[in-house]
Amino acid sequence: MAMILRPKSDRGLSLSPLRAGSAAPAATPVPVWLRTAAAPSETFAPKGLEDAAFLAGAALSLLDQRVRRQERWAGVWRQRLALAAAAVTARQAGRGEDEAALRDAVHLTRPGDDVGPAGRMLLAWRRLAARPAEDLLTKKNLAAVLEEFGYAHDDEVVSDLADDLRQPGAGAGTVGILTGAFTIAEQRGYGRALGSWLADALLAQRLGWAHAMPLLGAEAVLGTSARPRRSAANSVATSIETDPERAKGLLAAQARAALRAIDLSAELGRRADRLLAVAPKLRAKAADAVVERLLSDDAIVASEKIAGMSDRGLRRLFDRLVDLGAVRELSGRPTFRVYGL
Amino acid sequence: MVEAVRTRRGKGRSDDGRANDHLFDRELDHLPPEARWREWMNRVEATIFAASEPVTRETLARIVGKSCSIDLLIDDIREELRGRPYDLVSVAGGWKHLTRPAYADAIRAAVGGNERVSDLTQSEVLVLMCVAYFQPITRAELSSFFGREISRDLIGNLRGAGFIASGPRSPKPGAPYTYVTTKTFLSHFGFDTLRDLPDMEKLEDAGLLNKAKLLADNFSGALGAFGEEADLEEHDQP
Repeated sequence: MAMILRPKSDRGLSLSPLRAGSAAPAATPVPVWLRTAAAPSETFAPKGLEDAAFLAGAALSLLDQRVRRQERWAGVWRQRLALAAAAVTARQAGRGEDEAALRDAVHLTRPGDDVGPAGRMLLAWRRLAARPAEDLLTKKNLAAVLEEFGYAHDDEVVSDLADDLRQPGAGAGTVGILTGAFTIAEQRGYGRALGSWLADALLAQRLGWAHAMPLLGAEAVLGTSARPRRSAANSVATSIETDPERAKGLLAAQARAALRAIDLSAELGRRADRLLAVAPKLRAKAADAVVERLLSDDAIVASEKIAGMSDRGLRRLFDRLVDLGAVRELSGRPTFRVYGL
Repeated sequence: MVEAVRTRRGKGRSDDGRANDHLFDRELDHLPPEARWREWMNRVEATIFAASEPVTRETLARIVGKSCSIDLLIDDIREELRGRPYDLVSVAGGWKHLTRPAYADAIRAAVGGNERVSDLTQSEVLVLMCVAYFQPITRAELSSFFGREISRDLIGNLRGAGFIASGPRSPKPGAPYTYVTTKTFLSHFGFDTLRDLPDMEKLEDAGLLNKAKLLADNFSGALGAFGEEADLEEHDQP
């Protein structure tokens, strides 16, 4: 599975302890008023649709700033958000898998084997994070995502979906696109995981990001029902666009998700700095490739095939990186270890 | 005759099919609308009848006009089949002729052991359903689930029938494979997706759709759901 897609400009960069972004001014910190107002509490909950839209706009502009820096670790950033979204999707589907189990499902499956229903949910979110934003809403990707979220394959529905998704882009405002994504999903009886996926993809296209950020999927409270019951699938179709409460709920969720992504970027930025600082000390052949993978994906298993590196060599490299405090073992197991930033 | 049609379909599937598009009249412009619709219905039903696998929308689109709504065609065909003991059913992303469940007993009495589904023993069916609900799951987990050893042979039979496949390896000593259900499983048992499994939502709401939880405490609630589907049978070609 080739899940590592980066902007081309990153590829040629040689490893250096200097972060690409360190020359640029530090990103604007999140102001306290925004953090307080976006917190999911009763007292400070947005008072109305305008309030929620204001908060979402403010939070997204701070997120936009960080996305546009195109840091070398943007890949792991998006993939961690994808993992968080998949964990919520799995839970809402009534499944028992947590983040660690989902990570295992994808990383411990041999090529050609099946990752299982929960693993497929993670693949759907990884697809959102890895594919270029402009390609996300093609029929091919939509068909794959529907299958990954466990829906039956239906060419006609996929074409309809692709057509419908092209339309709101033309005239609708950003808020209209957000609620529209959920309406489009709900009209066809799909759950909110797909609505969130579509909304994230549309947002990225709208803001001109190279890659989508998995945001809404990890928000447990969206102000929409978790999954339309089969019987209720049709009755909810018209309500969302006209219902300001739901739009408000979605915008508040988007504000929270953006701040969560910003906080994660601060943490991963620090970890990436640390890894890049020790990178020149690594003597192992192909260490560059391993560092690159750690910066672009959620995790690597110790048995991963890295060109030019033996299994033992890779294990030793991971041991050293853990000793240096540059990567963590993520599974907590003594065997089948999984490493990541 | 069915055989003849099938051979032709098989051959025409790849590039030949494209080339034939020019010769094959999809649009039927020379016919009055009603006759055209009737001909399209016949073509679609014949194609589905002749196929051994569920026929996808994409395939059907090749034999009817561009403007033709396949859903409406199917609805009309099904309407005509209303009094018949079989029906067109949407299965695993396509359509297929299936006999109505009410005739399962009669068919079983008539052809008995010849059908594939009866190759599965009661315990194989139970294990299969267990995999369906709690996948990915290892053989060891299945064994502790049922309180008795689930043999490699049993797993091998299910795998041989194409109902299960290897999933992620379990991070346990020996890295055992987990098992997951396949598309063949869905199509054979008449499910469109895993969401269609009987009582899936009830199990979700009861919090029973959780392997760890289920392995920890008893699972009588979950197994209750399996019995109800005993009459779910499937027969190819009426």
